[in-house]
Amino acid sequence: MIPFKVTYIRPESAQEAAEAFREISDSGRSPRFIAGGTEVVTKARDHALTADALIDLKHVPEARACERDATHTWFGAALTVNDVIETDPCPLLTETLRRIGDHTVRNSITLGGNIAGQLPYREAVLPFLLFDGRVEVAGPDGIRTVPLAELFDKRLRLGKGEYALRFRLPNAASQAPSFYRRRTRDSRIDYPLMTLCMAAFGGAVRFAVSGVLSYPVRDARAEEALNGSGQAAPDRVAAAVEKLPGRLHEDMRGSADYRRALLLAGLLDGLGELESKS
Amino acid sequence: MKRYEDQVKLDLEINGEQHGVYVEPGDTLLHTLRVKLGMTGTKLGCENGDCGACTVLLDGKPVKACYTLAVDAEGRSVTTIEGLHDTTVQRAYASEYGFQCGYCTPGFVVNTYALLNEHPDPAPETTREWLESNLCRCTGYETIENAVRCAAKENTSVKGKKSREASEGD
Repeated sequence: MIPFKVTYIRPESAQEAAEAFREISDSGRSPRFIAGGTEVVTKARDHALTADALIDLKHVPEARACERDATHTWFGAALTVNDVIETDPCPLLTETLRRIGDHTVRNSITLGGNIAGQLPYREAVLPFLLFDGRVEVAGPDGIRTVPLAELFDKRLRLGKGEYALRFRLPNAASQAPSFYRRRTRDSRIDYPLMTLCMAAFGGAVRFAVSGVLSYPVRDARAEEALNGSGQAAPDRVAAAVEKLPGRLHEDMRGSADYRRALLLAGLLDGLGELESKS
Repeated sequence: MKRYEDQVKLDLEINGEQHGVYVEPGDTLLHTLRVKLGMTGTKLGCENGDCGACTVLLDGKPVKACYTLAVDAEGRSVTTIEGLHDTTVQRAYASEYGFQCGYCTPGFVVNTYALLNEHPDPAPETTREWLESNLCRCTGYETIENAVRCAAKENTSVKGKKSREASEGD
């Protein structure tokens, strides 16, 4: 139950959604976009989130579509995680999405909700960062498409009244050798200590990681260190971890040292596997 | 564009029947089923989307009613445990003693029903993947797993028999 009065709005186009946001905002009330509701409803129940109006994006047609052309695939931001898995997008994206939440919850969690939500893990973003994905953003000034890396810095940086409409992945990602590892503290269904996505793509080994810092990250300097020549793999891996921006996360799930150890082991194993395939 | 400011009357299709019910926009499907409609078979557990006691089917897919808004069920078909009558799944849970206190059982049964509709003979990994969505604090997992296997076996033997009868009739 949402324990406060809230207006529910169900727009049927991208423009209606943006206009609804502006109208509510201009009247001095606070609107919030909603799709799956797994975060919004549970956090609202806990009084960790408030809103005067919820604007449901699930009925915006582009946000619920998956479109594939010769070179790229567009995934609607309001597609559920299970919907995206069923499109058989690319092995790394499938593996990553399959470990978010549990199967039933994945019938509600949406791609955009996971990437733009409040929880710090945002694991669905990792393959999109890795393969130079793009995001289509709708808002009061219309629709724009930008490289995801330009808008994603710890979280998706959207302007007031903007929301993610679609995410794009190159079809070539399906052919890229990849490596995935996720570690949790106790059971399989849990927030990650580390979610590591790696791929041999664009002539180098790339990696994006969530859980080890307090936000998901793909860092160019860290990748440069990982791909450095003339050094043994363990040294390159250690250098890559040192280059990550920010401090390793420490909480009741695990210490920073433990997360470092997980990441070092994951990168080393992933590097070995990917370099042996090239 | 639909807009619900205050209490609204929704026409919900639940277990094949139409129900008119007044809800607030922020009401969850769980609250609506249990409190407004008196369908208490769907249980209130964690209210955080973790335990699965509140599992219902929305257009045949399992969802957790504790974070699903009632307004989200408008125009869709809802199946609760009350809508399952003497199914293979329920008989299997009974025969295999797939329950202890029984509180998690409606959620497990509904999820299992959806699983076997989509995967009549699920691989063990598929069964595990689906049923990881439900928790049993009595830890009766082994008999639950037996019940799912039993129901799947019953499903496939019934289908096999029907298929043989059909081909004999040709």
